[in-house]
Amino acid sequence: MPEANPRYIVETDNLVHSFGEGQVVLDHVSLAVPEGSIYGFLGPNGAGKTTTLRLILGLLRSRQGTISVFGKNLARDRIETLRRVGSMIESPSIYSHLTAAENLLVLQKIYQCPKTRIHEVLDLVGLAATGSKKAGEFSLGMKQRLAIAIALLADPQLLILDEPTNGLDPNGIIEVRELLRTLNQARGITILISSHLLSEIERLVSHVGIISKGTVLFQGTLEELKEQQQRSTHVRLETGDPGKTAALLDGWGVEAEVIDGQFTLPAMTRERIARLNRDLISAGVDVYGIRAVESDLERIFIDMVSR
Amino acid sequence: MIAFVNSFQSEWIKTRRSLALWMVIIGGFFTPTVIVIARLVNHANVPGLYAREDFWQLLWRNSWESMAIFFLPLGAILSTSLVAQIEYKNNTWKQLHTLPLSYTTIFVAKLSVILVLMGMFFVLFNVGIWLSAAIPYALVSGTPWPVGMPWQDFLKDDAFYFIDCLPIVGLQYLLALQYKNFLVGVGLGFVFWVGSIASVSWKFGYVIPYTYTMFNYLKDAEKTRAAIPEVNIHLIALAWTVAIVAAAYVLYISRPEKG
Repeated sequence: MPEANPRYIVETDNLVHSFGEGQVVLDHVSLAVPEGSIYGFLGPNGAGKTTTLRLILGLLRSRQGTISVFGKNLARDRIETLRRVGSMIESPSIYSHLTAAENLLVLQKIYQCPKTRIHEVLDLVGLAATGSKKAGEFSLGMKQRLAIAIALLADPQLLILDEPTNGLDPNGIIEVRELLRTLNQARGITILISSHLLSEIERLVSHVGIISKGTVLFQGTLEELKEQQQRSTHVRLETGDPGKTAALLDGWGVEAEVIDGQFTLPAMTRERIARLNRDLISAGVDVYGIRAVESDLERIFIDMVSR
Repeated sequence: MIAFVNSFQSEWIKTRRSLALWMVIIGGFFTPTVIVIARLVNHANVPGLYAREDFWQLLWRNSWESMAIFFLPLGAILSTSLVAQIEYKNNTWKQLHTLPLSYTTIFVAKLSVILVLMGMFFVLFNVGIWLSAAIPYALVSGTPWPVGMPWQDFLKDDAFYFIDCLPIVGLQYLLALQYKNFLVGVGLGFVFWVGSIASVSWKFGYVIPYTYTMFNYLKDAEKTRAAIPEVNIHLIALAWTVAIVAAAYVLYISRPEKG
């Protein structure tokens, strides 16, 4: 359940954005990322995730709506705000002619954090042994990890990561997930992470925002999303006589939806399913199949975004 | 000020092993190397040449001939474009613009790095000119060390050439910040440069920002002095630089998308 008075690190209020005079990319997007949370920002490709994150970071000029980060208006307190934020937007931003350590040195000069921090973050993402190898020679996974190291260099209070596991192998995905969990739990860093796959971040996030075609379809805790999952559990029934079946279900007072001769019924107990089966057979109806169907979170997500 | 110093240091690190840095080093030593080779090939003439009273003036003019017309304008076009291209090529504008730096600091720091690279180009070129005198002297026996190097005149001329190339740097910087495609800035630069060569003999050629290094070279020779306009080209170059850099700044600041 959401906190009574949560402090939001990132808040957007009715963001509207379009490129040129064309199609609206964001349509009144209001997000609220609670302090200390790992907020999964989900949506299919082209849903408006990256545009939202770019607006939050000031890379795009906001056309309508307000953005506040750490309770401050980004447009007014840009430098102070960005000092506390680490980010990675889309593909990794890395100087390919420099080594991993030199890439971090470029940013260390700006943040003026201790130089020892460079080795610390390289160690954290498993790139401490890359030595004089230029970043351009790294694999995509290594580049992704270097980009995460760059985002972590200044010890930020907020991390904004746009699809950080893109290009990583399954082990790499697990490692990044563990790293983010540790950063969140041990250091209290709030993380706003986007993805187009719920399954990829389901085990990581505490809060979820789902966006599709520029509109936020769901925003809440992971528990709230799971409650929705339970609500969407149903029973699937297939019989030899749809007419008699419909009449019997009517008698039971059950609202059923029929698609291609199959009945979809609200969730019911196993005992009630067995009783329905007996009643159908007694009425001379052949029962080809009857089973409870549980929607997983991914199904709910897909259903939401494909509506 | 501290933010600028930090940002400048950060920008300077990015030039390590970059094409822009290599261009400056190679460009600075190219003409002096050609002169050394030419002297060593014609080594019989070297003692006589070194004994001339106007040896240093002659060497200076020979060195600047190709530099003022070709290598300095082209070097400014390429090195300026390459510095900005570091961000495009590596997809790092978005990273740079999410750092706690004002856009003004970013703009000025990057421009300062380009100017320092140009300054380095001049230093290396001057060292190269001295070496192009010293190497034949050391290798060809019987060669006297040339006397009377007018180093104050040379420094003054260096300063004028530096000022005269600033409008090129400014305009290329403007183009490089506006266009992601490297070829747009460099291509337009080449077009302007060719146009400026064609317009040197035109009486209003001095209004074109790419002509000033050429005019500064032409002013010293008897044959070409007539082509020099009756205006202070260095002042016009400075005025162009201020106007172009101001325009580049306004365009950069007002971009709705920053990576």
